[in-house]
Amino acid sequence: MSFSLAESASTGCRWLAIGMLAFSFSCTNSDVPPSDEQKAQDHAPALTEEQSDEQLKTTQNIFVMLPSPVETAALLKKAGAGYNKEILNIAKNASQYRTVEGQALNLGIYGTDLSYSSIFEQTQECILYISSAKRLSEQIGVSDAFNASIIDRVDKNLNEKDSMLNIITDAYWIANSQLKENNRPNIAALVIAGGWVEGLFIGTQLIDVDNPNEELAKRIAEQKYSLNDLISLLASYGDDPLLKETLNDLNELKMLFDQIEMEKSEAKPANDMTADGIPIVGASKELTMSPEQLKKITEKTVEIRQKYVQK
Amino acid sequence: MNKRFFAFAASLMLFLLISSASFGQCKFFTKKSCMPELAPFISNGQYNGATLFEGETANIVQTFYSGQKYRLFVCVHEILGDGVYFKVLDLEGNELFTNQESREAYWDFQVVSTQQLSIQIIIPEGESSLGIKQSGCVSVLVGFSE
Repeated sequence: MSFSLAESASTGCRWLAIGMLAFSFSCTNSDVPPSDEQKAQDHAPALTEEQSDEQLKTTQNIFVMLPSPVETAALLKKAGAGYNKEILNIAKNASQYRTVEGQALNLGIYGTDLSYSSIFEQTQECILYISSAKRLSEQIGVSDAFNASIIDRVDKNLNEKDSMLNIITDAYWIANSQLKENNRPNIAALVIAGGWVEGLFIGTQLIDVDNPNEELAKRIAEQKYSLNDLISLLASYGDDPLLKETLNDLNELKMLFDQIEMEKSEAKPANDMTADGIPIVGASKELTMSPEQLKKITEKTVEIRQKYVQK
Repeated sequence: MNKRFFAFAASLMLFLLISSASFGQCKFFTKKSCMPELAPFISNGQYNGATLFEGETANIVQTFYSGQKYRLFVCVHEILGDGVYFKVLDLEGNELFTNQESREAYWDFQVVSTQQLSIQIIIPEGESSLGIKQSGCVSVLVGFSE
């Protein structure tokens, strides 16, 4: 593969070539004022070349995907959760996040708050959280996520739940793809982590630990799997200092989720069908979470989420 | 400093420029040609596209939730031909589905209970007699519906 060329080069050669490349870009853009993206990239830590190489070696062609905040919010509603705006992050706090880490995590958090408000058709909260997400997306250099076209679609569809969910998903996709395109997948991973933590936080705040809604408790326990995916995603960037603290937080949470027991049966091929002809596949897995485990997971989630919204 | 050094630096610069352009093209291809095909399912909002070469495979892991309908769509640029196929496996390696025969680009499914599944995309070796491997964009999209 072409990568062998780069790998065989001496360090001096590599840095010279990269320097030339950077110079060629700076020349072509010299007359243009720096965009939000450029400004953010000047200050935001992207992966170093060594980290990129390491990531390439360890995770080449291996990807991890997580459910979107929209899916998480839909799962919560379907499980019988209600809407409580008091538990969400304060929208006006968006201007207080100064570090890239805090901005990325809270972009994810606001993304989940926006999705949750949209699923429950809370128009006023949607407007507030779009504004917060827009602000943070500009700060981390992905202003296209909430560009004029997206905002125009929001204005026209604010009362159309399905359209709003598609618009939020589109904005999320633009931010995710732009961060990856700009060699900042580590920031994209932090946005995903923030969104996931907020989903778990909302779920654990809406459940009565002493008399839990069974369906909601099941959905919380199932985050055991998504947490594994999320940790794999963050760990794939090696020792990236930007991700270290979040990874430690998630590993502490994992220790609690690991105590949830699982029973499983054999995997099924696509023989069973739904009424509308869709195959139902996979092994049957039953998770058993005790009230004590739920309590500990809730406490740890509150601790982590509090830290993130105060970053 | 010699000519070989500068030739190498120029080659590397060219490679990096091509890589950057290739990423942009793959993203554009995904947005224009693949995402509309996911409707009416709602995308998970994550971009997972890459330029892959003949003979390569890619693996994707995601948790799927019970009670949700999913569409898995593997969108392949035509330059890679119609030989690309995918498999869906559980984490123990049991094959749950493959489109190796049907070559349908997407698969709608539900899971018995919430679980992690692995999606394996296989780009077979090409038939070029010159030994040049063809490359093209492969994007994996996952959408859900209630």
